[in-house]
Amino acid sequence: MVIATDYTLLSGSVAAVEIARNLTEVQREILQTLKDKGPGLMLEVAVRVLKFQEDIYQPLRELQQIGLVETQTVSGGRFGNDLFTLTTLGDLVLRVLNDPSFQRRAAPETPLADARKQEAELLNKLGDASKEQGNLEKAIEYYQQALNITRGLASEESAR
Amino acid sequence: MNSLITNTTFLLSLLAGCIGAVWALSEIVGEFQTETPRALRTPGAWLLVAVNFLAAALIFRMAAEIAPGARSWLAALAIGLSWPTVFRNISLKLTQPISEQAGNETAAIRLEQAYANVQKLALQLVNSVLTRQRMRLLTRVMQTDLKDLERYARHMSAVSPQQISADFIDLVMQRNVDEDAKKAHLTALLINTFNRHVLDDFIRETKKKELKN
Repeated sequence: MVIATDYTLLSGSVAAVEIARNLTEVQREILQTLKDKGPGLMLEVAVRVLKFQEDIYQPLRELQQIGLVETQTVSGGRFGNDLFTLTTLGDLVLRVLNDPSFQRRAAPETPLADARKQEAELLNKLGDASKEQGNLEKAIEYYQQALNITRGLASEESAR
Repeated sequence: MNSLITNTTFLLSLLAGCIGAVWALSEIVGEFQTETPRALRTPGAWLLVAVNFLAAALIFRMAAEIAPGARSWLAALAIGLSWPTVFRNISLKLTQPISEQAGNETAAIRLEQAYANVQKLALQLVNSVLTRQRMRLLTRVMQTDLKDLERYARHMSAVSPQQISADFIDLVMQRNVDEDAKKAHLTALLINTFNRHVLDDFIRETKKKELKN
């Protein structure tokens, strides 16, 4: 997954949030390790995230294309000559990734919440069916139950 | 009388310069937290310290020439502390355009950019030296026995609070690659999880063992 991004077009945090959303788990780990442990050769970056060079080659090159990491040529001998460093943009994206509000938004919905959403939809359908049959009291009851579930989900969402 | 003023200005310039140098040192400490002593022994670090020292001293000197009232230790202290903020927000316009519309394209030197370039160069120099040192250490460890290295990695994993994943060591050892590649991975793992002293200790232990044998 490569996002074609012109660095000059990036307008601060908005672009950083967009980039952060599209990063894979390995790419996030790579950025974090470059921040925590400093620049490193590909071999070093790989072992820091407990992977091998071939596993991180592609993610690292993608990060380089996006402009989150850059390379500096060093004489690393047989261990490689490219020293990978975090760029200013990479640092910004990492800050976004570590922001609690971003993490909360990025967190997937729990299966329980999904089930409750489905339950609310089903209750609404039952309400519609009851209304069609002319049983308004029952329909209102179903709608009320669906409304309570939706309200509960909304308040949980805002609390998160 | 004149020489006294000159001497005082010189000493105050030194004071401002020293505070500027402390700024640079704090930048290096922040950037190379785990390798500060080694980083400070590189030419790149001293380039950054020297630039910061000279810039703060020169700015104080200029201020003292323009406003003689600034010749005080308090002003030297203030300039030493605040010069990065002031300096990084100054831009020097090289030409003044006739048309207002061309204003944005005017050739200008942003001192912030100039400083950022020097800072980047200094950090690259430090990184380059530190990486070469790590690679030399890696090469030395590559001359030891793979079994010893594996045992040492597992031992360090067991006794240290910064545990290495034992599964990853297993994965490295099971890989269908030559011994050197396995050694390189184990060494890189040790140096990146712990620090260089761990590998220095390993080399020392191996040498002792060889001497005994």
